[in-house]
Amino acid sequence: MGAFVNARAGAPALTTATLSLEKADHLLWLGRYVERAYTTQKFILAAYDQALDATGDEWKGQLAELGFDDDAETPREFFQACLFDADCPASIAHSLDAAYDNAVRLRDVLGTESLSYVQMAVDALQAAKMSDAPLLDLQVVQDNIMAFKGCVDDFVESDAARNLIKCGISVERIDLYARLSYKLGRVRQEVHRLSARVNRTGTPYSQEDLKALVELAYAPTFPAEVTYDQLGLILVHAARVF
Amino acid sequence: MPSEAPVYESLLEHTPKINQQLARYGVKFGLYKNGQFNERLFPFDAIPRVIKADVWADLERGLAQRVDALNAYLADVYGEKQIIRDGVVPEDFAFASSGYLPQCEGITPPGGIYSHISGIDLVEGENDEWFVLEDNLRIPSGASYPLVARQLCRRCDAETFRDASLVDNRDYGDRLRRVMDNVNTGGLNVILTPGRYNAAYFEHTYLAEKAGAVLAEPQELFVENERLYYRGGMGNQLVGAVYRRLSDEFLDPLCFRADSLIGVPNLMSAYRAGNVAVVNTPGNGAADDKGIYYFVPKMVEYYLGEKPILKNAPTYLPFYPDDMAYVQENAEKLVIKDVAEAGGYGVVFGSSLTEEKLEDLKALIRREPRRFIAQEVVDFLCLPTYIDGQIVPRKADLRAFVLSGAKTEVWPSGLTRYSREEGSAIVNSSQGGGFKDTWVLS
Amino acid sequence: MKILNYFFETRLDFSEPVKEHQFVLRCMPPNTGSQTVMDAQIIVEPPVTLSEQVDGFGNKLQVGRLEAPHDSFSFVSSGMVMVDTAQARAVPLHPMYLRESDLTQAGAGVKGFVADVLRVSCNASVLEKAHRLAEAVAERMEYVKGATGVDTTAEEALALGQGVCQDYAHVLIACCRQAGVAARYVNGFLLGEGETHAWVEVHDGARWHGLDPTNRREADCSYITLSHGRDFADCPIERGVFVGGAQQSQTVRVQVTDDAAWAALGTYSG
Repeated sequence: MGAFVNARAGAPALTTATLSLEKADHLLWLGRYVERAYTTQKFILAAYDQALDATGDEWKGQLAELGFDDDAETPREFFQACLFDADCPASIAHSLDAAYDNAVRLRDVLGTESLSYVQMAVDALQAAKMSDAPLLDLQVVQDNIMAFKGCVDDFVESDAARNLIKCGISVERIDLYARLSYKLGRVRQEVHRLSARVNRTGTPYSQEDLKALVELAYAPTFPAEVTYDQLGLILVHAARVF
Repeated sequence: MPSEAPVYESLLEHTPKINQQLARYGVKFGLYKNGQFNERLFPFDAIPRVIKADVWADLERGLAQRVDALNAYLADVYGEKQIIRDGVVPEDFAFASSGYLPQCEGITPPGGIYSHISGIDLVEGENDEWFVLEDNLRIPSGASYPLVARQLCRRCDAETFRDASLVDNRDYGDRLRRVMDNVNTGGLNVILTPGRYNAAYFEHTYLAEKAGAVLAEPQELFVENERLYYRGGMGNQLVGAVYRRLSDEFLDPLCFRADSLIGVPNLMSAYRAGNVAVVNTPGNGAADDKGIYYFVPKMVEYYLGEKPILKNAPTYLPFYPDDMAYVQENAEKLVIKDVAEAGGYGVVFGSSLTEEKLEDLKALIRREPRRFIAQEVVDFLCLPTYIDGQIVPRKADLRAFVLSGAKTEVWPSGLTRYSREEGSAIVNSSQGGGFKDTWVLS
Repeated sequence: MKILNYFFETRLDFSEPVKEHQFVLRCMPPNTGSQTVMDAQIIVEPPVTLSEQVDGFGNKLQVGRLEAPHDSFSFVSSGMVMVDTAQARAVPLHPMYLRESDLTQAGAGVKGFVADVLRVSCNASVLEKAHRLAEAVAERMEYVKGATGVDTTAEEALALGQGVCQDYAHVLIACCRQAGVAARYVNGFLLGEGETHAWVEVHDGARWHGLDPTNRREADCSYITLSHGRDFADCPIERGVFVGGAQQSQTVRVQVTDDAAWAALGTYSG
């Protein structure tokens, strides 16, 4: 047989790739869903705690804002759905599944070690669903989410990837805080973080919407005299930054 | 002697924990059942397959030799076709294979390598005798599983790994990277996955991480002016080597199946022009087909001028009169395979047929002798396997991985798959089987 | 021998803009033994860089990509070729042309048809067999547009008894291969005005010979070859994919004229 030699073969492989728009999108939504799972879980636990002392239908509290239907008759049923019903788009189970779905496409960027904490958060939620004390066991879900965030800080090598996840987290917080009128005092801080990071994502973003967001959050009347319209605008602009 | 002792004993008690860790790392395979995509854990058995150093040395030489011959055959069948003109491989077999793609005629891949990553399936008979059952030169999967398992086993049982002198297998990612670098035409190394709902998705993502390659789905790549690019958010980047885990017919809708929605249009134009290495090259099915298998030992002699070191399972081609006579007389104890059918289809055990059906099959073979091959049923060894708290014998095969880069090298490990049911020879993961690590002693 | 001028235009109109349009064209005649290209141009609109390649069957390809949104795509291929079937070169036969391909698998229909046509022709030569089959196919089939599609198989078309040139060609190819005659699918033009055409070539052990079952004649010097393959799917004149949910409509114009003035010129040397 003749020798098959292609002169161009063996050229050095490039080592670094910029993130594709698809990957950037997965990173952003990974951040959003992880944060959504975390913050809504905190919120649900607080609402559940209040529900124990509530009378009548009041126990459903603000959770309807998150999109839960109010067919449930007992607090237990209602909170089970909030937490574990993956078919309900506002549930923790749904958020974690969506986080996993984004994360699993990012193994080459995040690394197996970091990724495993998202997997474990999903598994822990499954375990809590089966548990006789589900709310206590939810702690493990929280722990894994926190561990994942720590991993992102320490082990994700790509600056752009790290910043995209963090931007996702900030956008999600701004969205949830505004939607639920919850921790409104922290909105300014998150907007600040977002604007500090957005340039380091290596991804196109809307300067216009970011600017609008900054103006809203830094208005002297915010959050003390904020109107529903203003909160609505925050939602709109936050959703449009990326 | 350390190699004879049951070195794995202390690993056994850790089996549940190791499986837990595998779950944590997402070591799964995907499965479609009733139209639904599900991910399943791939059960791991902590008792490894242990291969002695001298046995491995023979296997290693035999595997490298076999893959070198297969690569030479691929260059020939898409080029000069000398082996066919010389009558070593009959035309009827060379071009009957559905894996033979005339679209690939005349293309010389970068570095002249066709099968960069070959998965050779072997079984062990009595007395350290090994047989090759199948060559997989398209997109063989499975290397990632023992790779993860070894790491975890070492963590949970330091003693065993200090005492047993075995060859480390955790460099598969580096090996894969070297193979890609060797043929890279100057650009990124990319692993192309069909996407999230592919059975081997875990492996695609894990190998991308370990080989330092970019994981990409088809829509993240495009071709322009005979070059393949990765769509970066901050600019497009040239791709120099693409390890595609997507089968030939779906690879490029402008060259192969026009209805493929998961391919990269015009990828073949970049490949034809020599501007990107496609790992493994399209068209390799021409050499790993049931009908071609019979001729692999002959290829070793033809191309390398060497005696084949590895044996095939005894195989007969009714195409040849002597073989036809043998098959007609012994059909009831043979496995009959329809060359035209792909995968596990068209495989019949003579012993499973009624007398009437067997006669029908024999008549069919007489009518269409080129369509069939027949094989002796190889009785392969069982390996001790820990199931439900007991060590029981289970049949197991071995997929060895041969990497063709600057040199042809065999990964000193492999995927050992075992069947779930006693006596069964079906080791497929989709049938509930599990896997073992494969230890090569040093 | 003939010298032919050809003009071939294909235009695709999209109901809404499409983008990232990738295409492969086999629209320029290649040099073969019997066909010599004297002049050839291609113009693509919107303008784009074309890469010229050769596929595994030996066909000439024009490959391109239009990234920006566009609502029409057209190409004009024109030139002049000298055709002289007497000059057909001896070429080795690739055995794939003896085997069934996806669109030319012989079912009971094709097998019965062939057995019927060739029942008294055991000693016939390859070409005689092919001619007789071509004759029989032309007899059996009726030229009807719209009865079949690009995916219609030879077996289906024969059962239907209707089709266009592509179907005639597939049926004849399936019959030839069933009878042990190597046959391949050919795309190209025919002298006159109209659309692109398809016919069959059979290999007699040395050379390829053109047979046009649709027009019941041999493919002589009035035929210009563009591409060939095992069947239609191997060698389409144009194939493309794009991003966008547009409806498309296609207009094709082919004009081939016999340049008698050229052919009448005498030559001298001295």
